[in-house]
Amino acid sequence: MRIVADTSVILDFLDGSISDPFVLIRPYRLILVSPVAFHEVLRAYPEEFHSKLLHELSEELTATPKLEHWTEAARVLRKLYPARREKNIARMQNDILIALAARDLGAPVWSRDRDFKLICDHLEVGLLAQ
Amino acid sequence: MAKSRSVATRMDAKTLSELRKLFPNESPSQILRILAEERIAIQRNTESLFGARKALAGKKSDRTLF
Repeated sequence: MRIVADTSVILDFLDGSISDPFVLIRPYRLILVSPVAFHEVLRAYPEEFHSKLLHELSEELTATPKLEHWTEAARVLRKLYPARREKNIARMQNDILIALAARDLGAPVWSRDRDFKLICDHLEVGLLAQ
Repeated sequence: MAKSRSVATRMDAKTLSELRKLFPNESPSQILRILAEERIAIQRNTESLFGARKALAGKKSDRTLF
């Protein structure tokens, strides 16, 4: 019943372009946020909002990535994007870390970003693209 | 135990059957506790997310660094 939201859908929700996320994610009912995605969310807002966002979302964060996640992310990145110069590799790295957080929980990723298809297929993590 | 059985017998048979599939090793009282905890988590989750949006007071994201 839990789902791990990608940064783009969280930003869409916070911006109001997704009015009610719980309608879109049915039958899932609980939206979790990776600290990696939370970091990306903070980058999108002025610092004056950061403590408020942390206060509101702190209990909905997944565990912080451990060394094993970073090392696996490096392996996956090399395998999936061996010669990808046009892509923002730091962002792909973050997407992999978000998918790994979902895998740890046995939850799918919720993302509208097409890059997640490849990552989730590779990691055998479910993907909701609503 | 008697209380658990009492709760289980009041529950709709189909619902109980579905729950037993989801929680095959839990007693009825444990299932009810899990469901209650889930309900609280869902409520908190909803409040957290909408609270975050409210905290932004209409400020839109700047995705330059995203």
